Amino acid sequence: MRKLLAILAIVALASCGKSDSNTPKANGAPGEKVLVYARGGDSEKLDPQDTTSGESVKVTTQIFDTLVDFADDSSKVVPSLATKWTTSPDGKTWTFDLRVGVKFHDGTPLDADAVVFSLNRIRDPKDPNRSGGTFGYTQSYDVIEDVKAEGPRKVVFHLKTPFAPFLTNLAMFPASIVSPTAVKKLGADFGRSPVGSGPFRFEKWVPKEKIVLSANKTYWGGAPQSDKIIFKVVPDNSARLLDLRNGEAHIIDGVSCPDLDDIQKEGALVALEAPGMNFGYLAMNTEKPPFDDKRVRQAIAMAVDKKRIVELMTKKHGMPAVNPLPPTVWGSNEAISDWPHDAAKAKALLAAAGHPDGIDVDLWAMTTPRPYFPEPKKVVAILIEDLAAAGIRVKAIEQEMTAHIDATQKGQHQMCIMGWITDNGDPDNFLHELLDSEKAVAGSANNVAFFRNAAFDDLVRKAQQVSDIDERTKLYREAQVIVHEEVPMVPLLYMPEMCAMRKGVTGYKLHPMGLVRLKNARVE
Amino acid sequence: MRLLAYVGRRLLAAVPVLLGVSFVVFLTIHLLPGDPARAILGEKARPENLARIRHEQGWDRPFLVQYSLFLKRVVTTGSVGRSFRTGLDIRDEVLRTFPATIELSLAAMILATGLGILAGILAAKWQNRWPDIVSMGISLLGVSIPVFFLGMLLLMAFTPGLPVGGRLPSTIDYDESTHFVIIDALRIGRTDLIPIFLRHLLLPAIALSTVPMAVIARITRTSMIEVLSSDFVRTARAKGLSETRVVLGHAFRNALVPIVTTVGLQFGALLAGAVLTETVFAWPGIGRFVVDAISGRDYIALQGGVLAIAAAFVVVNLAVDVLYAVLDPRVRVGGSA
Repeated sequence: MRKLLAILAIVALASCGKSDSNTPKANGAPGEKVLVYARGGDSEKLDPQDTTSGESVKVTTQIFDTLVDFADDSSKVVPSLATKWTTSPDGKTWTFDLRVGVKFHDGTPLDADAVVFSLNRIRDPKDPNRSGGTFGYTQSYDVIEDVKAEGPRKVVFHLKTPFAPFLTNLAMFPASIVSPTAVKKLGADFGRSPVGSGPFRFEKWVPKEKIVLSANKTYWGGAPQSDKIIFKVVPDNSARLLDLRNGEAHIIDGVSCPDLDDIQKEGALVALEAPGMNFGYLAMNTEKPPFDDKRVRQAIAMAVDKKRIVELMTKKHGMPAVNPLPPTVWGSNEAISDWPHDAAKAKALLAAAGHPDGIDVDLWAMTTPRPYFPEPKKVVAILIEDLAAAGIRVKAIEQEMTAHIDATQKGQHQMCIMGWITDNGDPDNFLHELLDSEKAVAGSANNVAFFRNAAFDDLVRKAQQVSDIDERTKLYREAQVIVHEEVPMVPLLYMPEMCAMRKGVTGYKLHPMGLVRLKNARVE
Repeated sequence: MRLLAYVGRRLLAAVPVLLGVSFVVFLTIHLLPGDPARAILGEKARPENLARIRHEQGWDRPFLVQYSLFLKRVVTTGSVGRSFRTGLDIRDEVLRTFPATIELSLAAMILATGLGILAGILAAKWQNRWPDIVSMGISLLGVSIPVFFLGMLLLMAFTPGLPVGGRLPSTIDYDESTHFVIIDALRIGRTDLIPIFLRHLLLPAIALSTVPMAVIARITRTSMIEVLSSDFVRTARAKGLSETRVVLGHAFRNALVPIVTTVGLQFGALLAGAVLTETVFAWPGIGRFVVDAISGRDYIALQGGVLAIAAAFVVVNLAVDVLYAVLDPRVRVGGSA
C-alpha cells in the first residue's frame, strides 16, 4: 500500500511542478517557427543515393531537389530543377533545361555538371564518389546509356531503349541532385551531413532522437513557412500519439486505424487520411496445380470476402481492391467490376474443374505488419475461413518478411499474400513489375503468381515504349481486363495514407505516394 | 592490496566471459531468420545486388573466418566497427546510448531500493499481519505485471500532464558531450534543464522500477525475518533497546548482504533489460539500440550493444562482491575462506 501511495505521491509532486516547462517552444529563439514531426524510427543515412529506408527519404525529401518532381496530389510529373524537357522522335534521347541561378546549401552552383555527377553516382557501382554504399535503387536507372552536360544549363540523357517511366524515375528520391563539392569533401560521411538545394538545410542529427533542419530562406521555390523542422523519433505508437496530445509533436505518422478514429473525436487534433498508391493481394502460383487451371483461380476470387478483411483489419479505412492498380494511379480500369463474393458459385466452379471434394492448398504469409496489411495474421485467418466455406482447405505457412520474400520469390508457395507500394506512381511499376513474365524468374520473382501471358506481356511492354499518356492508358486498361479474366492474383485491398496533427498546423497534406513535404507546413 | 588483486583477477576472468558472450551472440545472429542484405537493400532488391552486398560485407565467408575477423577488428581498433546501416562507429554509439540507460536504471533502482526495502522491513516486522499481506501482494503484482503493459497504463493514466517522448523536448538544444543530461546541464550551467529532465524521467523510471522493487521487497522480508529471530536480536531486545533501534540498527545491517546482492543483480539486469521501457517511452538508451539493431539485422551494432551490456553486467557484479567485504567483514575477498 505504502509503495503505491509513495508512487502516487511522487507522481503528484512531479505533475504539479512547472507545467509550462514542457511546452514545445521551451527553447526556440524568440519568434522562431519550429515544427516537430514525430515518427517511429530514425533515418539511417541522409544520402539519397545510399539508402532504401523510408525514414531516411522523409528527411532527404526536404533537403534535396530532383530534376522533375511529382505534383502535389498525384504521381503526375511536373518541372522542378528542370524547367522544361524534350524527347527525340525515337524516344531514346531526353534533353533537360535547368533552372537558372540555383545554388546548393554550401554555395556550389547547381549546374549541368552537378546533375551528371549525381546521376553517375547512382548508376555506376564503380563511380569513385559512390562511397561504398548499397544503392538498392540502381536498377531504376539501368536504362540510361549515358548522361552528358551540354553547356552549364543543358543535360542530355541517352537511353538504351525507349522507356516511358524514365521521366517518373527522375522524380524519385535516388535521382536527387547532390552537391559534388560536399560529396567529394565528405566521402562516406556525406550521409551524416548532407548538402542539397532543397527548401531545408541540414543542421544537426542526434541519432535515435532527432534530426534538425533549418529553412533555406533563398530557396528557388520561395522560402519555407517554418524556420526549423525537427524530425523526432518516438517508436511506440501510443507514446507518439500522447506526444502529439502533449504538444511536444505537431505532426505524427504511423497512426493505426483504431487510433485514427479516436483522433477524429478530439478537438485539439486533426486526423488526415488520403487514398494511397499501394495494395495487398493474394497471388496464386499459376505454374503449380491446381492453380494452373484458370477455373480454380476464379473460384478463389469468388470465395474471398474482401469487404470483411477491410472491415476487420482496417476498421473500414481501407478499400476493397478490384485491380492490381489502385484508382489513384492513372490508367486504372474502373470499368471492370469485381468477381462477386459467392461461395456456392466458387464450389460449383471447383467441381467443374474436377475437384468436387474441394482442394488442399498452402498459403504463405508474412508475420511482419506492412502498410498494406497492418495485421497480416488477420488476413490469413479470414482467408482460411472464407476459402473453407467454398471447400478449399488451407494450410498457412507464416514467416517473418524477409524469409517470406525469399520463399515466394523462389516460387515455393501455391498461394501467398503479398503487397506493393509504388516507387514512382507509374502503372508500369505495378503491372509490368508484378505480372510480366520477365519478372517471373524463380529466385528473384516479383511476379509471384508466375503469370505468363503473351497478350498481357505485349501490352505492358508496348506501353513502356510509347510516351503518349492517352495511348499508354489504353494499353494498361486492356492489360487489366486480361488480369481480371485470368486471375493470377486476387487484389484484396488498397490502404490509405494516414497521419495526425495538432489543430493549428497549416500547409500540410498527405501525398498519395506517401511523400512527406514540409515546405509549406507551419504551426500557427 | 588484497582487494586490488582480487579486483584485478576478477577483471581478468571477465575476458573469457566476454569472449564467450561474443561467440554465442555471433552464432545466434547467424541463426536468426532474415537476411541482412535484404534488410539493407529493401524488399525490392535484386539478387545480383544482394550478392554484391553479401560479398562486400564478408557474409559469404565461412562462419569461423567471419568470427576471427571480427575478433581481430575488436582487438586492433578497440571497436566492433561501423554499422553498415548508419555508417556510424559502434563504439561512439554505445558511449552515446549507455548514459541514457544508466540514468534511467539508476532512477529506477533508487525508487526500487527505497520502496522495496521499506516494504520488506514492514512486512517482516508484522509478519503475517496486514502490512505483510498488503506489501507482498503488491510485490507479487509488481513481478507479474508485464513492463510494457504497466508502461501503457502509466501512459494512459498520466497524460496529458507528464511527457513521454524522450529525455527532453526535442526543441531544446544543448551541448551534450557526456550524454548524461544532469552532468551536461551542470557543466554548461543550464540548471533549468534538470527539472524538465526529471519530469521526463519519472514515468519510465516508475515503469522500470516495479520488478526490482518487488524482488527487493521479498528478499528484504525473508532476510529480515531470519535475522529478527536470531539470538542477538533477542539479546538486544532483552537489553531494552528501542524496537526501532533493534530493527534498523541491528537486524537490518545484518540482513543487508542478500539485499545488496539482489540490488546489484537487479541493477545489472536493468542495464541489460530496459528494452521495453526504453521503446515505450522513446528513451534513447542501449536497450533500444539493441532492438533497432535486431530489427535492422545490423550485425555489427548488435555485437557492440550486447558486448557492452555484458561488460556492464560483469562490472556491476564485481562491485557487488566488493561491497560484501565492506558490509560484512566475515566475507573475505580473495582469501581461501
